[in-house]
Amino acid sequence: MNEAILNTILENTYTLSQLKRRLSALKQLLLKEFFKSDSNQPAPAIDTEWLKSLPSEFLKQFNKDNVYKIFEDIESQIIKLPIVTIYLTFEPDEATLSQIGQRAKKTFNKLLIFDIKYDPRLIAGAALVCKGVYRDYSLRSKIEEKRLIILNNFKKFLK
Amino acid sequence: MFTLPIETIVLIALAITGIAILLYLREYFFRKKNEEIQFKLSQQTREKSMQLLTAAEAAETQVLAEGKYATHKLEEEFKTKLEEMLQMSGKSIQTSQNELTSFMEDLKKRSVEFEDASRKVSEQRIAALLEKLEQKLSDFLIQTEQQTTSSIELELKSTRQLIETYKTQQLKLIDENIIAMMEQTLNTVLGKKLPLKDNMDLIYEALDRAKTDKFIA
Repeated sequence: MNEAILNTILENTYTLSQLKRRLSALKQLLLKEFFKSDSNQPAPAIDTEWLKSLPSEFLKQFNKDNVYKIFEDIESQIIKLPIVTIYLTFEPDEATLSQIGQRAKKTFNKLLIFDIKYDPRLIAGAALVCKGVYRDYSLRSKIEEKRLIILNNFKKFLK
Repeated sequence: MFTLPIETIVLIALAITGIAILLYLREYFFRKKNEEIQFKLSQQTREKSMQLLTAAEAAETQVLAEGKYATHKLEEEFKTKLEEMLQMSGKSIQTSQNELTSFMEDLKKRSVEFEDASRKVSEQRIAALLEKLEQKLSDFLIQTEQQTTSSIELELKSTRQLIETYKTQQLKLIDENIIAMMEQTLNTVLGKKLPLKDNMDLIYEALDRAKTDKFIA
């Protein structure tokens, strides 16, 4: 049951920060509902929207007795998720993140959670880190790959 | 006190006067006689003195004459002896001079001979020394030349390698600078002005390449 709950959460969640933020918002909502707990920090509007998009059956799976247990299980499963660090040359908004996440899901045909990092030296494109291995697929790496051709072209002008 | 009669006293006075006159007269005559005797003695003495003086003069003359002769004779003898001695000394000096001249000539001859022999030996030694020196100098020059050539070749090789290394490093640096400059230029130009769509296309391409590379299993 907990796996189904996590899959529902991950259906349109693509980044680690999104996931943590949304889980926090969901937990806050449920605790407020079950225990009348009043949080000092209201959930961001973007997460409120996401909460509203959740199906009513999804929320019915939670009750006073299992809410803490379910969240403990989910948090322990998050650690096991395949997290890929992606370096971008700009700070993406939610829509851009969704586009990248959907494209990744389609490309690799599996669930992937991105940890977004910023590196303007890449010029454009992206670099990935998976299981501690870094691979640069950015425009910078393309320039590096075509280094000799570029240099030869430059040297033609120097002669 | 005893008192004499005046007549007695006159008589005594007359007697004393008479004695005194007699004594005076006696003294007077005595002195006169002495003067005469002294005069005679003086005359005799003068005569004898004159005689003695004459004899002395005669003797002096004789002695002088005899002295002159003796002196002349002595001079003659002395002159003769001196001439003999001079002749002997001259002969002796001449003999000594001749011997000295002979000795000097002999010495000169020996000196010349010794000088010749010494010169020949010195010439031979100098020749041998020069030959040895020439050989050593030649060996040294050859060795130095070889060492210098070897050193220059090594230096040249080292310099060439250094230049080649420097050239390679500089070219590498230039290449890196060209790429860095290009990247910097692209980053400046595209960094904020690249359309989101183009950037997204590059990100999708990255994901596709990651799949092709089987980077994300």
